[in-house]
Amino acid sequence: MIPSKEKEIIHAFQFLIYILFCIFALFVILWISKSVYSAWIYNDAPITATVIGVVIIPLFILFIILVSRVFWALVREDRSPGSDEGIRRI
Amino acid sequence: MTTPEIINEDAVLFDPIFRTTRQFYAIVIILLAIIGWAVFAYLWQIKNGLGVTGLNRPIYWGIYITNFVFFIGVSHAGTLISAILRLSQAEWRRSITRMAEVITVLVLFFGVGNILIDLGRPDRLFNVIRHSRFQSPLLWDVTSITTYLTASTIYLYLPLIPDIALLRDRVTGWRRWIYSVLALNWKGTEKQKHILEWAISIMAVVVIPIAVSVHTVVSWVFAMTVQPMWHSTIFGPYFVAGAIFSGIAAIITAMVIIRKIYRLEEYLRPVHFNNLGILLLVMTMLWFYFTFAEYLTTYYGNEPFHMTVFYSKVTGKYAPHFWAMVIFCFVIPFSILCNSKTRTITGTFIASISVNIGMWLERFTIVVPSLMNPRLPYERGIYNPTWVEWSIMAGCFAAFILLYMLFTKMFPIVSIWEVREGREIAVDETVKRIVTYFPSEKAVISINPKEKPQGEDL
Repeated sequence: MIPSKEKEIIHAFQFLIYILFCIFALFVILWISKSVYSAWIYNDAPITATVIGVVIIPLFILFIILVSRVFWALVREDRSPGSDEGIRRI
Repeated sequence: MTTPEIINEDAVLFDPIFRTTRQFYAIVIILLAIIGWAVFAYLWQIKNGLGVTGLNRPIYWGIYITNFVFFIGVSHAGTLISAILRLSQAEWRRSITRMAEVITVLVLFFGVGNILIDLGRPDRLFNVIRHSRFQSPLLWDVTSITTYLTASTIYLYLPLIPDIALLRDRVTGWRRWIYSVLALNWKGTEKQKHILEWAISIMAVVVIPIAVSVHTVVSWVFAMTVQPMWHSTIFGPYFVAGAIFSGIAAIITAMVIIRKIYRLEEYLRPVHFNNLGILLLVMTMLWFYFTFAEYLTTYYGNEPFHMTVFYSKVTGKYAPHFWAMVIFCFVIPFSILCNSKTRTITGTFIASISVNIGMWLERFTIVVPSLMNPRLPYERGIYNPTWVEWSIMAGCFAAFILLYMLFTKMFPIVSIWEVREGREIAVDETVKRIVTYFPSEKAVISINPKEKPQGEDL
């Protein structure tokens, strides 16, 4: 059994990793968006930039949604009352 | 089943994590020595510039870019073995998926690393972010590899969670703390299992087109130029086929070594090597088809600039590389794998090593000869790689092996929960699935003449 204080620290680190991932994914989205914007402003291969943006931005949004869903589902399961019921070890 | 029972059942899979032999430390020291030498070579290059390499005008890409293309190709191991086999419900995949996924993530770092080494001034990497222009295929590459690395890391991590939880419940001290953080409070409840399987299945679908796009874009870095024997429309599929080819070879090599060192004979059986050997055989023939089509088209077109490069490969300075490539990529693997008697564990291992060497040579013969004989009115170049390039290349391979070894000391190299699921559930599910492939009993009876209702013709 892990002491509650240690458990809180573990939760904090898990949350930190999750936040770092989200920052990275958001950075990529912003970087691509800025590049697409610049491409249109300077008329520098705007169609190419838009096509790449249309593919990459939804992918990183998907990654954020997927990781968030897994993270919160697993972490919340541990915190919700009666979470030890129905445990099936694998 | 409780955690101790599972650990007893698959104890051999935990052995590499809990027991470290002297040989392991000896190999680590040797690898660290090679890496140390490579770091010295790189610092030498940083201090004195790219002049210490064999790179010059017009041959501005050499071994570093060859390594980049090779490593990105090998990264297809994880995608093919894991994602495609998972989606096609190939049950024999269960013991080998993780080995493949780890290769993918690790080699991608070395692929990207070789680009940075080739830059000469690595600080200029930030210019790609600050002044990005999508006019350049090089930036398409940056974007697609970033996406692939992110997707592959998620795809490696998700199936690891249940196994990390097993380790968390087993160890003490700092390891328990790390596993507790990474296990994300996994308890194996139905709800947790459901959400994890949902996420893995989505990533398995997403990662395949991303992987294909990555190597297509790598090929476009060459094909979008008008250099002789680069400007080809089939370069995309040619590179993707070559990548899958070298990826399968890399996973077979890793499997044989891991099986031997960690005594995983029960988990990595001859059937795994036979199946992968057949896949490698198919890819051998596909690679040969693409290579033949590419070179025949060039030869028949007889365009002077293309022919200069063509002859430099077939009969000129790079003929030894070219014909060695044909022998390593086609003659050796084909002759071993086409015969079921030689498609053994040893046979597939020899074939995989041969393909690894051959595919590196293939990347080299694509990159260098075209630059040596440019369309522009430069003088014909000469490229002789120096000790700096060979040392850094050796360091990259040593670092990859070291990181792979360290991974096996931290995490189970065989997915324990997937193997167990295979034992407990997949057998029944597979039988049910196979039954659905064939006409139902009712349908069989209805077309059986003996059961034919009177007065009806079939």
